[in-house]
Amino acid sequence: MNKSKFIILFSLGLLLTNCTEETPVKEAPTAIIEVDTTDVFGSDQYEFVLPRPFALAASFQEAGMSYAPGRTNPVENVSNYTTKGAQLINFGVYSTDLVYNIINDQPQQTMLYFNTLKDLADKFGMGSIFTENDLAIEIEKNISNKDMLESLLVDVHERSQEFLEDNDMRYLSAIQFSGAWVEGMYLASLDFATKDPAEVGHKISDQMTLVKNTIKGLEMYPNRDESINQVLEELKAFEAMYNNFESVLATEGVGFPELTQEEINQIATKIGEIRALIIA
Amino acid sequence: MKSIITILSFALILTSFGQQDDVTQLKNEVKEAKEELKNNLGSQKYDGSKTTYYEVRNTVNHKDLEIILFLRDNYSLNFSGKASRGKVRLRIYDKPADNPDRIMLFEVKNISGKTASITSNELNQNLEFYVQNPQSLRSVYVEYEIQKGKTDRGAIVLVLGY
Repeated sequence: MNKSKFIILFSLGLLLTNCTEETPVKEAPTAIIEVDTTDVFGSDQYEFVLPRPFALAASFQEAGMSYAPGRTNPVENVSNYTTKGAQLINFGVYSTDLVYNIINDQPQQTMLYFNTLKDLADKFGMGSIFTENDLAIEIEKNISNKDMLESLLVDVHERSQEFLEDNDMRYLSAIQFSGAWVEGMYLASLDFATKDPAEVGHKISDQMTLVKNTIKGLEMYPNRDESINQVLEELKAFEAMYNNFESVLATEGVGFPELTQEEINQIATKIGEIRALIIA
Repeated sequence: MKSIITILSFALILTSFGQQDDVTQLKNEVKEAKEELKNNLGSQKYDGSKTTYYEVRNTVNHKDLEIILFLRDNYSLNFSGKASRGKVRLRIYDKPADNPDRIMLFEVKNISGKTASITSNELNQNLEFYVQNPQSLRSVYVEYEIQKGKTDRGAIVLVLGY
């Protein structure tokens, strides 16, 4: 309950108590009414800008992510996500899958994943973001137009962020983002073996900044359920594993590490495990 | 006593509705500021936004914001203080607040009522002024320093373009 609502209810409670009171009060009760002056609609002292799915996908594409059917989270899995945590984190996973299909010119898959996202949004009460201004219809009309879709998906992202902010749920955007990031990293990792290790190493090193912020974002959310806690712990283990690689330690925090193929393989395996945990 | 409690209750209700009006007005101003920044992007593509809400208090307070830059070749960082209240100093650094060696790359003495823009390329050039052959910035750290003043609530909008 936000503070304004609490004050209104508290005040109405006082009024009603006052109106129905029959026994005179002999001594005035010592009432302490504390008015919290911190932001009613405020930002945390430290925040970060979460990249939107298209920017994330663009960076993974640069890291060598190529297209192959069957790599994304099957849409049939959506019925498995019954808790709010699972729905939110897989909303992020499907957002990346949607963009993956768009940038690889897969209109049929795009439609399929778009409808899955809509269904998932309905499940946690965010379906209105697609009905406002016929956004869903516009997306369906432009399903083969990559540029137009990118612009329309900006609207989807904006509305979902506004929805979460307006409903005191801004912490939840970090949960969505963690799903989106893990899925992007997973899709990119499937091509790590075929790329130049030096280049992959640089890209992974960049992406580790986002892991740090994802962990911070998840930690800020106070009502984590068991599934989100598990993901958080796995991401922390992943970050610790990376930070303890010999090539990373050798940089002493300056510059990019030259990751070995073995280290890159370990990253791919770990990301696969975290992704399996999320989409189960 | 009853009258005092009744008056106090009404006062609380009115204060609460007043606060809600303020929040609604602020959110509307934020919306307008964001639209203006997006319209000013011109040929650049919009890549997201972040609104930082704050309170003006009787002491100086800070809000910090990290912006990841490596996802695009050249970002433009566009700030609006049109929904801002009080005096707010905006500074951009190369490192987070807990690093004593951080370098200030950009500053607006008071963003309230104004807009300001800078690109990540310009920030990299500014860094080169202080550091020889630096690596290009992967993130930058924005600090909003809200000066002390009459209690109020405000917001600063950031829009990213590329």
